[in-house]
Amino acid sequence: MELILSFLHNTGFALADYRHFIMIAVGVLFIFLGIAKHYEPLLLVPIGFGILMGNIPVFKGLGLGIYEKGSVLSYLYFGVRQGIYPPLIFLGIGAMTDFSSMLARPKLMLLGAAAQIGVFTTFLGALAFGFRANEAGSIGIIGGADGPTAIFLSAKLAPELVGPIAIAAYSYMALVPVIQPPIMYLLTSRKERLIRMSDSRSVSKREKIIFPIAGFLLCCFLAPAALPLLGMLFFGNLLKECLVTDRLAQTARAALIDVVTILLGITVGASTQADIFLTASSVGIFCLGAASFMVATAGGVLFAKLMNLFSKDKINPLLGAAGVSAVPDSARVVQLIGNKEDPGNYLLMHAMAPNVSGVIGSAIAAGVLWSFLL
Amino acid sequence: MFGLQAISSANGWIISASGISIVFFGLVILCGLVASLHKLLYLWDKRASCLQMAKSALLSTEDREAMISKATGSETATSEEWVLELLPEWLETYGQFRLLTGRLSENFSLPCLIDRAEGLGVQKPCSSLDALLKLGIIEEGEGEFRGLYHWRKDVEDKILPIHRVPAPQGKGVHA
Repeated sequence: MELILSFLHNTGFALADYRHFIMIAVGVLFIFLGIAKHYEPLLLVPIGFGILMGNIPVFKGLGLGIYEKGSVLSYLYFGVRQGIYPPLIFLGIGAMTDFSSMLARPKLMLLGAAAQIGVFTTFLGALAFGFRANEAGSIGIIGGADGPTAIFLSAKLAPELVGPIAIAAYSYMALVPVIQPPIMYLLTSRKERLIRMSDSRSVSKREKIIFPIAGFLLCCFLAPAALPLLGMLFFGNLLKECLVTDRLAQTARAALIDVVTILLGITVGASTQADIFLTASSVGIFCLGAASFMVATAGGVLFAKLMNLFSKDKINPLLGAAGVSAVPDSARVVQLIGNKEDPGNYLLMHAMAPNVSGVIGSAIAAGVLWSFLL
Repeated sequence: MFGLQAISSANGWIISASGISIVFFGLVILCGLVASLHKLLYLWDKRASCLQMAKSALLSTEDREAMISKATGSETATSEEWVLELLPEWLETYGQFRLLTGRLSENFSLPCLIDRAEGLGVQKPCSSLDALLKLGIIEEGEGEFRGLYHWRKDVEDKILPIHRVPAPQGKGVHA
């Protein structure tokens, strides 16, 4: 009888409190959004399941929890803590990304830079709300709309906040189709949304091969702290474009990125253990993250309008919203809204230019914050 | 500490201002590089004629006449040799297929090459290969290599870049 009672005391039911159930509900919501709504399913499903795994109440000392030394999850989490997974994901992203649209119309890169205003504005906001400088930097990078970059920077600057920051970053990335359109409508007139972009020039293979080398050297000389992210991004792209390393490129953009995404998603999800995750600072991070995303979107759109004041070749200001580096979701949102106003207006390819430059911009911003705040 | 005081004490204003400036500076420089990359490549392809122009600009009239007569002579001498002038886009196509065949044996199969090219996103591989065959850059093998193809011997020394006269600017014309 005593044995049975002891067993019952050690079950999850006996150890659970309300916080575990809240987190389990969040995990189920993520899985629902991923499967039923198709919001970033490759990320939300592993993260959602990771949240479930991290919130099964277990006996401390058994070596099961992600924060317990020697547990399997803690070994897998090592890649997040040490910032190993994000550069590997960037390698895969580089091997998938086609920079042609950006190379064909380089001035759209400035929209990717403008959207990084969200990062630095939120950094100021987080400081004003009482977060320490290193924490504020990690929170600000959520506005870069780049999950791996946010995880990388918070692992370096504020490891205790990796969980909430990653969850906030990926949640808002998944909610791009919900967050961005109202801001885009608010800041643009119908006439502006109807602007059609002229055709881009064709980009030669040599340009595509030279770009990752030249881009890497330039960006990393400028912001050496961005080396792990940008090095892998440009290396992956070189593998894709140089034609002689197709096997490596194929592995990077398929098997490798999938494996790392699974590990990253599961461990980031599992790191949201209720007792560590459900705090006032997590709520603050979520609010600031949303603000960061909105300011980044607004920054891109307003900068596009500013560019139109000085440029003969007008650009559709909706493209500014693609400056946040949620690839390719924000570009897709731009296409949807542009297409809704004018069914013959195809903005997707043009929107990919600020979108991929946003990836470079957010990695530079992360490098800059890291070097300033470490 | 909260509010503006917290921002100031953590050097928030300076960090933000310099951070956004560095991001902008980096992307503006990258934008400039990307914008000039195709022009630099164009100049690189045209380097021989550019050098020739620079030289002739520096020479005196007599030297120039002498050089022109020498050049005419050499043209006659080389006119019997096989020389192929290619536009930059064809040079690139040639370069791409060279890279693709680099890991195949000297005598390669065309279907295999087309598969590789398609897999790597090379545009219109069939028509490009057809053109390379018609130009004689790729030749069919003989004897036991019949059905397989190889690059024409010493083809690399025989290919010269030429440049198209820019089309007049107008509707529907893209640079």
